[in-house]
Amino acid sequence: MAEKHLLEIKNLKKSYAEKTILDDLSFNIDFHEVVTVIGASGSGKSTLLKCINLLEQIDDGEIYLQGEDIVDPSINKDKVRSEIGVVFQAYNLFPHLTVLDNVTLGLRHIKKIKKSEADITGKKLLSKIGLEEFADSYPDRLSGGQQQRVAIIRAIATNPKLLLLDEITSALDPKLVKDVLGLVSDLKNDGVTVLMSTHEMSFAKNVSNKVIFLHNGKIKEQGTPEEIFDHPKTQELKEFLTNE
Amino acid sequence: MSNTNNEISPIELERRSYRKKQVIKSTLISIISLIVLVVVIIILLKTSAGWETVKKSFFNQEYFLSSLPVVFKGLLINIKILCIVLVGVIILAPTLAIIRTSKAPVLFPLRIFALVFTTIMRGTPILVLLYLIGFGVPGLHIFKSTQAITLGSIALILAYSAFVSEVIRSGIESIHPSQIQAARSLGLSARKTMALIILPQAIRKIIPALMNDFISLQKDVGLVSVLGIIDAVRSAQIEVAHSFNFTPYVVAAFLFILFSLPFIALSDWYNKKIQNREINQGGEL
Repeated sequence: MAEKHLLEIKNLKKSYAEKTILDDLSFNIDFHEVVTVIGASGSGKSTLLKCINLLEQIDDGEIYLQGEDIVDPSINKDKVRSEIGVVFQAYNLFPHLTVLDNVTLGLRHIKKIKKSEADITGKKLLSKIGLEEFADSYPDRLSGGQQQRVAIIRAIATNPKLLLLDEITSALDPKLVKDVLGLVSDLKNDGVTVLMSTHEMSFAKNVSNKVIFLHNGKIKEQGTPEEIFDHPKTQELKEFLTNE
Repeated sequence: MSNTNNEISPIELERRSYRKKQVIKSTLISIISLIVLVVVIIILLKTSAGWETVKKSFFNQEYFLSSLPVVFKGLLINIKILCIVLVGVIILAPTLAIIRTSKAPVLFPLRIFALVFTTIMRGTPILVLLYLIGFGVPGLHIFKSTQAITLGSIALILAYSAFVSEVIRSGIESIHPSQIQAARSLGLSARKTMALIILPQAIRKIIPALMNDFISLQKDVGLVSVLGIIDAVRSAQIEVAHSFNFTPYVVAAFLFILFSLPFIALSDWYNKKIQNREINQGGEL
């Protein structure tokens, strides 16, 4: 099969107990694309990202990463996860490790790169976000926005094929949101493929190649930012956009 | 009222002098109450009918000095046992804790074993455990010869591993699940997540509790004397049997306390350090 898409999801289903969370989702992500998932709280955005990262087991459907079936039960889950970077809403950094050690953790323990070399890469990444002076500090010395930016560069340190961002700005105050979103725009320019869920509609409109609108676990609409934000077709999306 | 220079305003000077007076006042009160307490205790002791007899049989200077070297020699045995037990507990307790917190179905029988083990060991008085292992195991005639020191150490290792493993378990379970998720999503295996992320954070949280357990173990090694080991307590007992004077027991207590002081100080220092760190953080964030 030709690897046309970086990520291919077909008929994904997931439910907890009796409650259906994801109902028959299908979509693709192409290389170097930024895809945004929008939708109300509880629409299944987080669960979708966790399924892709294999933190949740799906009930049915298919997920392919560069043509490889990653929901095959015999697959090495740790290896798949190391190819998909993730940043969550909060509590991403490890408080007992310095900022630099946080960034280099994956390089050293997954990519098996020597500490001295990993530190060079880590410092380079930190200087990219202007935080190299905090290399030897512990995360609690950083503001929430700085912590999230460190979490993002930690996730991309190992050059994952796909970066998942799960509402990474919702625990931050508006002033800090700007810095974090700026970094995401930079990543887009660097060619990183991103799938993110967010409540920042204007940001989603500016940075995304494709937007997916989830409603009660179903994809109600998907398309370009213009199609989704300027010409919503369904009543649900129209209502969602006015409320946001 | 405004002052543009560095001069302190009169109202602030007044506040400061008031605070200073308050500090002096509360210091005086605490010093006086301490003196009163000590005086009351001394008067109570001195005026009690039996004080002279008790003083002679428990706080006799002559016996104190004569039994000190003998009891000290015994204390070295206690320290030796303490070291052996420490090594045993350091190996066994984390193992039990990891088994108890694991979720792998394969480990189910081990998990049940660990649960039963920690329940029994924590419920049994250490003295009973010492009797059971110290006198029961040689009775089995499995081993040709078993030293009392070995058996005593084993009993203490079993008892303390159960306690310490529960402390470690509580530490492991106190780590927020999002930390595990963040580690696993980086691609770290379950084992590496435990070793690099969970255990280091858990140990940090439980160090005060572990230090307390260590200080408690330090005096509990004196219990091995019931197995006939000539440790500090047993040596004191022998001295007492010779002289019918109880001062050697006080000597043993004195030595045990002396030995524990550095560790108590260390534990206090560490707790204070953690407290300061948290206060500082709270101020900054």
